[in-house]
Amino acid sequence: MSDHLTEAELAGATPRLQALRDALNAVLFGQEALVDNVITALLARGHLLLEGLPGLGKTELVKGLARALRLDARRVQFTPDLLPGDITGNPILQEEDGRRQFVFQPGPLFANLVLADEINRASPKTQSALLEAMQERRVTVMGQSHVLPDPFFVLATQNPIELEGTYPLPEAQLDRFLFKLEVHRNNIEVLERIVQHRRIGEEPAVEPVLTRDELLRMAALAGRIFLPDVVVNYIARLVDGTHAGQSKTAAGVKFGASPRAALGLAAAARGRALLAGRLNASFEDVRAVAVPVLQHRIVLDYHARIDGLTAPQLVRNLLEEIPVQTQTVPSALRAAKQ
Amino acid sequence: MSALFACALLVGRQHGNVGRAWWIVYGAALLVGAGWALWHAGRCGFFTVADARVRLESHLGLHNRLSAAAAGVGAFPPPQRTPDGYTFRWQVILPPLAGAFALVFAAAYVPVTRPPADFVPEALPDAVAQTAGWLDTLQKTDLVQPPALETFRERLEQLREQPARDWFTQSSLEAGDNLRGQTEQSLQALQRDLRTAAGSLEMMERATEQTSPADAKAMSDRLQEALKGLELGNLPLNKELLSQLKGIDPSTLKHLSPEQLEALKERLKNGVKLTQAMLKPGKPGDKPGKDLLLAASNCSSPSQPGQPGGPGGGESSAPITLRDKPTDLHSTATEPDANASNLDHALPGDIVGVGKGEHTVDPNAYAGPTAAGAATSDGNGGEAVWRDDLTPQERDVLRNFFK
Repeated sequence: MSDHLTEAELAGATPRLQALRDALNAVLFGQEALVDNVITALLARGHLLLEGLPGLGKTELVKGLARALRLDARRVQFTPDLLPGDITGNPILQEEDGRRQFVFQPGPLFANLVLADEINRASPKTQSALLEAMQERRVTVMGQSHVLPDPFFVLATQNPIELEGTYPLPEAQLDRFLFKLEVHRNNIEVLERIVQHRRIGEEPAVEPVLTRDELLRMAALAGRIFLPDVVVNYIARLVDGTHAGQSKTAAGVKFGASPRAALGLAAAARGRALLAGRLNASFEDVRAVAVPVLQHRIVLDYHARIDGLTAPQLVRNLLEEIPVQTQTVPSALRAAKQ
Repeated sequence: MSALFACALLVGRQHGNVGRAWWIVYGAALLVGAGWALWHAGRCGFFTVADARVRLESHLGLHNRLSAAAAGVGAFPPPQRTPDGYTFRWQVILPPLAGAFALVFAAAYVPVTRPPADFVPEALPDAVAQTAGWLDTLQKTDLVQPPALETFRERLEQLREQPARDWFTQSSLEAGDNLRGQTEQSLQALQRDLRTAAGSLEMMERATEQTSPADAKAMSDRLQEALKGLELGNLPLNKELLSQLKGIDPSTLKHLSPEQLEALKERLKNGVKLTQAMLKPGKPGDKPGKDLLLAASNCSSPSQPGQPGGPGGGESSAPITLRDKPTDLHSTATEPDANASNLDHALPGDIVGVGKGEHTVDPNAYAGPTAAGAATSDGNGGEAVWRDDLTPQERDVLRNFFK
């Protein structure tokens, strides 16, 4: 029997995910695309890097997510003097029954949802500790490994301004994040809604819509979304096209996307398909998640940067260049409507 | 392939070992090559089922449902009606239609000034009326030949037959003036010739036996000259009178009875009086004096709604009115009085002339003491941060540096 998702399973998951989407949209006004991407990352079990100015609701989003999913959430403000032990936890010498021993005191990483605020302000050592935890989903202190709770999601934020005194994340560490999302400012209508419905210091009420186990089940369902061969081929050609010499668009690329990016594209496309209530991922899903998945995994050379080219723009150009189908149209069908 | 075989054949013949097998191999190779070429050409003209599915689902926005269903995941979507390629593009169709309707609507409802429908001039223009009067008088008195009058009357009728609304247009008025002028000149010529002829008869009657032949010939020539004008002028004299006059000379004059001669002179004098009366100033249709012109320019005459305004004139002059406030021309520059060259008419406060000049500022002038160590610019925060807003020249410099 096939391990692919069935119609019945899909019918059971779709309303729950729609409820989660509605709950988050009630917390964060006017950011429907961001909410969809966050849920997609949750279903793909990937971490998020949010880039945006302060005050756009990143923390509110994480809090709302934690309440809607009944998950344990922690927030860590990264500073240059933050030490790895401050986030992973430290062994504390305790005396019990006349014996002294080190007892591990878990840090803020031991939560289901971790908001790493201004991650680029921490030293590379602390960043590495967090990024290792993101990858391995465990921390090792004094030779002892401690498994992080499941699910474990990191939502890190970066401030695009005030770059002095920061430690930009290296490309290898950026690769750990499934999505890099840019949080844009709100328009006037959304600002009016925010002013009318929000007060400073008052957190919006969010009803739990999913349990932890249900979220894990949803993520497992997303993993069973069917990925057609043609979509797999499209993902492979897209990722390959990010390397210099493999496409015209990639002429200004210094380093292209890694195979992990291809895996991320596939997982994100599956998550988006489940969120949309479809049994299979599609070209459209891949195209929709291509920019958040690929933009932080591509390193542009100086020529491209000087020419004003940005990674998101390059990915969009790549999507224009790489066709979904490599087979050329037969001459007999060329007259047909495109 | 044939070229290769040809080369091999040449080499083989040099060595003398070309056999039947060579030709069999060549034929087999030709068959295989032709088969491959046919297969390749045919293959390029067809789609695989999988490719067709991808093409359909990508163009119809089916989210790869066909590929998934073909792989056993989910069901094929129900057939849907595909667009036939023809769509109404309202954004292209509507603007011209809306523009056309707007134009028609505007033409139908924009307020317009309607000329008075019941406007009918009470009388013909003066020039036309006067010319008609002259022609009628001439016709009644039978002084001139009727065909000559018809020529003038035809032109007069052309002016009369115009719609009454056009009687006082610029062109009609000018045409009427022209016709009156020609008629007046013809009348003057007729009067002059009649007077000459009458004078000549008078002199010929007074001539005696002592009158020299030269004087007699001069009198006869003068009469003949006048008769020539009376015959060939625009208004030729009545034929019967003209024939009588033609037969007169100093020798034949004696054959006329005094009554006949007197009657002939009387007819000529009556003609002179008639033309004098017609051309006498003060009669209706005379050239307007100054007061009449002023009155006409103000359209004060109810029966003459307009007069020719000259070469650039219209049907009538606009009334001269004064506004309560002066006209604001939105002029920002001070301009001199255009009549300021004549200072005799200048008034106190008039601007006689305007000149342009620039302030001369020395850029190297001493600006005052400067404290030691003072910064010329405070700078902005974050200037050390890399920014991608370089000018094209800076980009070129950087590009060359990194090459």
